[in-house]
Amino acid sequence: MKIGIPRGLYFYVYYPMWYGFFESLGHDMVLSVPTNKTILNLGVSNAVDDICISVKVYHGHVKYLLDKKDVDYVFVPRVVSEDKYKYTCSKLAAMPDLIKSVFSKDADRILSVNMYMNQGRKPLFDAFGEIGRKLGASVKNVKKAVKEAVIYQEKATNCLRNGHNFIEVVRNIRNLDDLLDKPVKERQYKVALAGFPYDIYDSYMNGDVIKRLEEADVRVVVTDMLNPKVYKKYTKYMIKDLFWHQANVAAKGGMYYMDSPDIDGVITISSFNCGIGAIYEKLLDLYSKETGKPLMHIVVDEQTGDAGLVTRIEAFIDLIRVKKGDGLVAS
Amino acid sequence: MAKKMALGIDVGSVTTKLVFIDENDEVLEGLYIRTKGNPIITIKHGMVEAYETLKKNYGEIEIIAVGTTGSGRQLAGVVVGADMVKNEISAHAYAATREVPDVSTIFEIGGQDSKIIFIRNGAIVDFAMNTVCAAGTGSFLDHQAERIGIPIEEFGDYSLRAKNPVRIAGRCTVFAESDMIHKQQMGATSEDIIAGLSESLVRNYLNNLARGKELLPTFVFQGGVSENIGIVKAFERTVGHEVIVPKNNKIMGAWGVAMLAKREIEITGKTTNFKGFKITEVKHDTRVFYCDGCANNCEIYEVIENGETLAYWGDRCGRWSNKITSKVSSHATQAKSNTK
Amino acid sequence: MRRKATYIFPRMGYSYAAFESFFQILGYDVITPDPSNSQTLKRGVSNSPEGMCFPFKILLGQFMKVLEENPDKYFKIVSLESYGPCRFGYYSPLYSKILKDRGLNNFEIVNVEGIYPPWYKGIPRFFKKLIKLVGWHAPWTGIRAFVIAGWKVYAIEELERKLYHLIPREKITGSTEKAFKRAFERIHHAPNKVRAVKKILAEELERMDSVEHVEDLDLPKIGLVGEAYMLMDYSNNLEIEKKLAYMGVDVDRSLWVTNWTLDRIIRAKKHLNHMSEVNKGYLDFFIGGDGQESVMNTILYKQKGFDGVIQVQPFGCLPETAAKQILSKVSKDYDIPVLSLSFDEQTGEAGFITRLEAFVDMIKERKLSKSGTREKKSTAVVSH
Repeated sequence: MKIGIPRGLYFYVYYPMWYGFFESLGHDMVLSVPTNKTILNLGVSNAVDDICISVKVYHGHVKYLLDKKDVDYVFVPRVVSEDKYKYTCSKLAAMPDLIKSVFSKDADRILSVNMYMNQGRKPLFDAFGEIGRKLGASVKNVKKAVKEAVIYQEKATNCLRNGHNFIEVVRNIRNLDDLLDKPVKERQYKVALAGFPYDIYDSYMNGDVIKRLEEADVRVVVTDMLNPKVYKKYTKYMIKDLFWHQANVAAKGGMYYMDSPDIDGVITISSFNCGIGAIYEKLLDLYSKETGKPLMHIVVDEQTGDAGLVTRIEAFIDLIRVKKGDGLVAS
Repeated sequence: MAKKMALGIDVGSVTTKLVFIDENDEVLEGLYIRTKGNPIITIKHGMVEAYETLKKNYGEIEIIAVGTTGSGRQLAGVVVGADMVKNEISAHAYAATREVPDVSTIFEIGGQDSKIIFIRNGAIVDFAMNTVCAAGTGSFLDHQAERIGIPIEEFGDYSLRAKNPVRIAGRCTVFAESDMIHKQQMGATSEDIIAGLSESLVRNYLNNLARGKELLPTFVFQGGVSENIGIVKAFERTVGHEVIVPKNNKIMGAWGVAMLAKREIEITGKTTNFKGFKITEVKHDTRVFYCDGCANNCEIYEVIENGETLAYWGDRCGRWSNKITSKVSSHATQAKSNTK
Repeated sequence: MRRKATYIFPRMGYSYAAFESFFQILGYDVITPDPSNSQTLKRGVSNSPEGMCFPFKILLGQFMKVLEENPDKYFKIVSLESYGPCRFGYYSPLYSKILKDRGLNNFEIVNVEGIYPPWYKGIPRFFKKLIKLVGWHAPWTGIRAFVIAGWKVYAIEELERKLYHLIPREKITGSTEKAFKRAFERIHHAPNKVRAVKKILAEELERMDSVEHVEDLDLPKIGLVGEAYMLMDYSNNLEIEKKLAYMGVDVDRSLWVTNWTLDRIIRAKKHLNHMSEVNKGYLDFFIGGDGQESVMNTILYKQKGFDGVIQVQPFGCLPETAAKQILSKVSKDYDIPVLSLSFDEQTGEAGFITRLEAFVDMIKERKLSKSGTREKKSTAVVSH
């Protein structure tokens, strides 16, 4: 069977796992194309007005796949939690319902299941077992596939920990072992990106910020590369943990990077109308006041004009150069 | 015998519309004036002007009913003495269904407001108004016209001449402007830019207001912006169907409320509250102040006629508005008289 | 050094009167912040993150005004919160950080959190916070405070219900409101005894009933759903209930302090089960805030024969935004008009009233055309 996988939201976190699972069961996967104008327009015209742009884009990806008649199912998981007592935002928790409410004609082609991540194997077996049953796979094969899925995700995590970003992981999904051994290129400056993976890695939406930084000889690290253990201590500064896993990663990871001497600056990337972004950005604002580390916020929205974005990134790099005592270079 | 007429006044954010109709609801005189600062003075000027023409054409005039609508409907209502003060959505819909009985979708774009109204079997079933942004309204076009230095009246012709409309991005006026300038700097022609702006306005309008709604023919397009043939064409391209611009397209709200007021008087058998054309000679003042009665600090608006307060509004507790004994009967009595 | 603290309890609609009593019984000073006005909103909006939800900005502004105006006093800001998908759960840490960043230090925050897992931490934390709120009193004083405050909340809600029932039916415009104001003040200053509150309530309900009115009117019915704070606080929802009532509508609000508290705490399980049953196929998961309630109550209103529903939400609210998208499908499937209104500091009264009026016109017209009495006699709008 052909399973459509929308290239949005948790694709940028759990794709290796999904890949491993469906691959092992012998299904073909159809990825939606990287976000482009058509996808964006599809999303904007279907999702409700006030919702964040990342969710709108996701609607576009789902619609793109639903329009492909040969795709049997489109995989729209409901990722409920990503750690013990760490959940996702209301809109993501309602995702299959939101999708079904708009594309009600295709509701039975939506493959949906509740996923509880990083809480041991049992929830995974339950969730994937349910999908397996729908796809007519045997219990034995599902078990094998889940094991495969977990291995893929672990490999991907190791690659991230070694400093490879998730885009590379997607590109090298078939040979993650090679990627793991590949050295990471060091550069003159080092900038950390804090935010949700789906905003950081959607290069169309954020004006390809990673590439632009690399062109300016900046090594880019992302909060999802960090081992959660290193930033555990920042809960105290935050008074209490945030409810949303990815927001904790962004906030605490950002703080950790601010305290790291080898990081020259931190950029947050959030999507327009993301309610949670407002919280971790404020926390990082206040923390950067204490540490004095340069901080910039980029808010991704429907505008295509990236002229302004380029200017801002250049100005940020100039700021870092001046801070380090280097001269300005004409771009 | 004096000619019987009803008057409708639509006080919008940018323009004020006055309509006089005869007993068969036909428009005898319609005025479309820019609201320059003070809406009261604008209304008075309009009334003086209309009175002259009407008198010349019909001799003696008797106003049997007056209705007001638009964002300034309350103010206009107390100044002229209206029998019906109605919101502009209902007024526009009433006029559109009178003109095009089988209408299903009404696009209405004015100066700073835009609306979409869905009609099924002659009744409103849904509607939407623009919320925070002006990207789908007339002021968007006005602003860009100023920016590229082409009078807004010529926009329609320009966009019809366009060969390759450029895509103007941005759902907000400011961003659209910077994108437009960018396209200009890249060398796009004025024609293509104006056509692009028209498409952008329609896209923004539909994205803002018609999201997820079923757009069914017959389509009617009214309001000031419907004068612009370029926008009409852009609408037709987008919905893939003919879009009707009714004959009184710019004054539909005023016309609608004039008919509603006339009907109200006919049904209830009351006489009109209209204060007569003499009000154009009376002095009106308005005043805004903050009430210090409690912590709410409401903003109070006061309308003064010849030194006497006509109305207050804006207070939450009724401390001010109850000072003026309400001439309008309460809902209970109204509803009762209707059910009889 | 221990200073005598004054409690600040967030204002929400008329219920503030009851919460004042609560602290007074415990022997504390209490200040209720001003209702939203230009001064509090200005403070709140300019000091909050832009994308933060509107209630956060409202409350921050109200607290700031009190703290700034009384620099010589020391305050305990009471914040009731939880841990959930709604951003409400992280209000107090942000308040504390932002107020301190603004140089205001004459406060501490007492946040009473609901119990959330892990249980072995959650339950002791809840009681610790509760004791911090109530202080060390004889248990019966604490219980008495809760009981009396509860009764006052109930009494105020009964009066409010009566108010919105009578306004569209009264013969002299404004007479019910006058009676309500008097009744509210009496409850507000009623002696802190259950019997006294009960007696005053009975007297005042009777007095309100004696306002000249026409009881048997078949008015169009509109139900209000949405986010609890915006629904319950009249100073921020531009008095939507009263406005609708004056437009000749029987208005019903789905969330009140009493049913909200009961549904969330005492009969939570039953409530959740009921909700998942009603929402089946539309919203099958817990999304926090009042999002599921909005969907459920819209369906329930339809089943109860209401003519329309208005969803009231603060701009950018996470659960309500999700609910809004789902409501458009509910509206289509159940054939009930739903108007979504989102509020922020820029919500203009003029556009708001236009929308309400047009919605009411539409509802009246639908009602008439359904009952088959759509004659020339109606004042409803379109009828060709």
